[in-house]
Amino acid sequence: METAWPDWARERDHPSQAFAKPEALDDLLVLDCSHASFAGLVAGSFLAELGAEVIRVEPPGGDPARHFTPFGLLHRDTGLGYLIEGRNKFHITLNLDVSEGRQLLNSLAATADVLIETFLPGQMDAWGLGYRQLAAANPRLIYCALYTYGQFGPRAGCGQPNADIADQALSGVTFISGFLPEGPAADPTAVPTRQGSWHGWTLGGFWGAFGILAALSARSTLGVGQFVDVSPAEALMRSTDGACAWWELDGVLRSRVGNYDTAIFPYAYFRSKDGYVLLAAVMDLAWKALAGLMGRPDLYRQYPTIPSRKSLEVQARLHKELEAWTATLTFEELAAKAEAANRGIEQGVIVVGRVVDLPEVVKNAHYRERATLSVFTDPTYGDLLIQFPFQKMSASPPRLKWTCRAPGQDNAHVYAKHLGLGRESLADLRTRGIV
Amino acid sequence: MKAAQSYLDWAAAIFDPAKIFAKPEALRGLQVLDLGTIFLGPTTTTYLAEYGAEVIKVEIPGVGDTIRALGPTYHWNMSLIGLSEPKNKYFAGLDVRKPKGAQLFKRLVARADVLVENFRAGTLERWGIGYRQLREVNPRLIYSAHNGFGQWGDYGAGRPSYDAIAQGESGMAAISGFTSRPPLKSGGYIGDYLGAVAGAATILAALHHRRRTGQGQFIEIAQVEALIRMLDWTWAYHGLTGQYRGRYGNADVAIVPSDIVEAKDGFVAISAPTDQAFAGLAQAMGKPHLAEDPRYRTQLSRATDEHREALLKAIRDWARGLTTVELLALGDRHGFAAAPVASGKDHCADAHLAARRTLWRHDDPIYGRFPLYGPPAKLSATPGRIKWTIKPVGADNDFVFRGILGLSPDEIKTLKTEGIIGRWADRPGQKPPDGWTGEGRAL
Repeated sequence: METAWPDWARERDHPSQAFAKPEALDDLLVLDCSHASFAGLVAGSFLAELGAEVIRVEPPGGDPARHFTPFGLLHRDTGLGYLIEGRNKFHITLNLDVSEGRQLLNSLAATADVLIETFLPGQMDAWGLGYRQLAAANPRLIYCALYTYGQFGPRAGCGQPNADIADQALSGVTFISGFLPEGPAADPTAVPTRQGSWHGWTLGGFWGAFGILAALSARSTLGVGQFVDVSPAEALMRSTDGACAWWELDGVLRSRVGNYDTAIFPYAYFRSKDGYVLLAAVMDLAWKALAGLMGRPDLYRQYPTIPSRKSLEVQARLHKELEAWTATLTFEELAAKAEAANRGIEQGVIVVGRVVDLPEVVKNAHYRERATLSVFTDPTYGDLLIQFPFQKMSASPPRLKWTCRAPGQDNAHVYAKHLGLGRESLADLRTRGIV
Repeated sequence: MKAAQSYLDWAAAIFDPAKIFAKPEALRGLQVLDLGTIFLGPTTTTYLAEYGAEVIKVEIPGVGDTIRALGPTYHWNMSLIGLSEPKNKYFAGLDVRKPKGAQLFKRLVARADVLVENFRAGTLERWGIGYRQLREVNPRLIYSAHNGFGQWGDYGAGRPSYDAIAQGESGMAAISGFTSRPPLKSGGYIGDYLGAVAGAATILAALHHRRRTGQGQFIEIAQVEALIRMLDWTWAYHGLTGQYRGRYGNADVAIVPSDIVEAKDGFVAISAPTDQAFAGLAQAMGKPHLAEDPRYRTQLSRATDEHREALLKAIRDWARGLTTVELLALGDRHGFAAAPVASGKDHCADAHLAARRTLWRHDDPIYGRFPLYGPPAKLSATPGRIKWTIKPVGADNDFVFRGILGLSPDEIKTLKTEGIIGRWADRPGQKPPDGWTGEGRAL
């Protein structure tokens, strides 16, 4: 191999070449009818980044999700969350409250490959736009509905709206996340704690994309589409590492453990001289070496095995001891010490990782070089610091074409292209409040 | 609007979990090789296997995937996470680090559609089975390399990637938790699981491309990059305001109200993401005028610093006097979100999850009965399913080496002697349950 592997890989999949290559999904027509939910929007973005023609259907005036934005901030009338997930989508408006509007969506769905929606279960069906009605005319349609409680089961008809925080809470991940009280006094920060980002919605959206693409594979052999039902809460439930089995097999209620781990120590966050670090030395010999580095072989002698370090009391005690040491060193110093020690460890390894503040992510040249996070110049919204598609692919890479559009900005193009409705028809529909 | 019963009945019928095994599988015929360890790679192939792919997991004989040793407890000589994570895979013990092992592996690659690995960049190439070598054997191969920071670029080179590092390096920990506390690590390995489904969906997109063009390809999934992608408005907020997003605890500063409150008997998530839902919440609180109050009438106004805290406090004070069940019922009646902070124990007792077979009452061919979380995407025509979970290292060696590669018993014996093919070491996590008769092997 003449070229070193990283150089070879970089040459094959650097995002700067994306526009010179084909797109994986550019034969797909997708209708993104997400309503007030980023789960649906993320699913649509995933397909749009990989080349699908995604038509974003909003009510006249725009989706409520356009107003899910920190502190109520708008950028050119659009919330900051929506600015990220409008990407590569053609934006049309359509009033589904009136029958003529529903008829237009019905016509679009007749030739679509995929429809994504996040209304309450039964809403689309009541409009005559549910899977059973649309599939009658277009059996190849893949219809994906995302809802906190899913489309069936005793809670499917409960009537509660989609909410990321509900997805997180129901998943079980919130129950196992958050700090423990440090003293007897009530501590408002020692509570089950959500992920800061909309992790229920985003993970649920990825599961929507996965379900759609699995259905697409099935369609290639079966010839027909199907209904894909995704509960973001259930998607995130998979991230609890078998909390249900732990309860039934051991009678142990898996609970929150702060910045520790449930089963191993050290695998925790510690204060360092210049921030926080993840310090891990899971295997016993790595732990022994770490205790040696600290000049505290007594800690190893006292807790020599993985099980002996497992209880929260022991973890809390050891954490204090370790932090007294890590707090005197910078990340680089800790990493150098670990690296040197690792050469002498027979089994296992000491790992030091950074727990950074946001400025360090933004300034890290690695992410600009890899086009993970970079400034993008959008024709409608201007310069935005924005996250790019995360995958690197050698043959059919994803790409960012535009980041967002205003509600209905693509009406003329889309209605002409897909329904043959020109300027005057559109003006008429607009006058009657249909688009 | 509440759903018509006829719709719910129809949906329950087309998704009926009792009929899962009577329906075909979405990814039937897809041949996948899993050369990963712990979560990031192996969970990717687990997701493919749950929807019908034939996944062969290749492990080093006598060593096996570290996940087998990840506690917190052991049953039937297997760790709990080991029992819970892998699904429907065939387990082969093959030392691909040795030239003869690599050659056998190449024969598996020749017939495979997908390979997933999560070693440090360049490791497989040193063993003679990197993408450059394997594409010679099989140009249709979709090779997906998963790690922390990618295959190239100065910063990531050689850096180890643990889930907790990905959460730390992406900024996810920095925006989770409370201002007065350190950055918060999730209790679950959520960066791994996110990377896994992101990888699985990307592989399926590459498969679609291959159906159209015949072309395989190389894919990189960097866990940190996937997390950065999913931090919603974090980066745009900095770009537009110069400010950095903080840690806001359980209260969402972009959707108001959205918070976790303490009820009489537990924690409940409460959210009213739309103005309509907020009117319902105000009604439930006995303060319908809040929905007309100019300070609270719109999402944008509720989210401002001047208005947000007062509203959240009013909700916290109100919820404190109610039980979890009362809050849920009010959410149902008035159309706002009210959901308990549920535990694994709650999941086991949840009739809704049972009816959806999300709480999957598994009966394993080797280990017997224990609960699992079922496939999250419910597909009406080709549903996912769980057939078995983990097996001892090398349990399906005969299926793979005799049934697929056609090696004779003598050849297998020789390879065993040479340490190329092998099985488990006599250690919990690797070895079978005591008294195992071999039931549950594929051959």
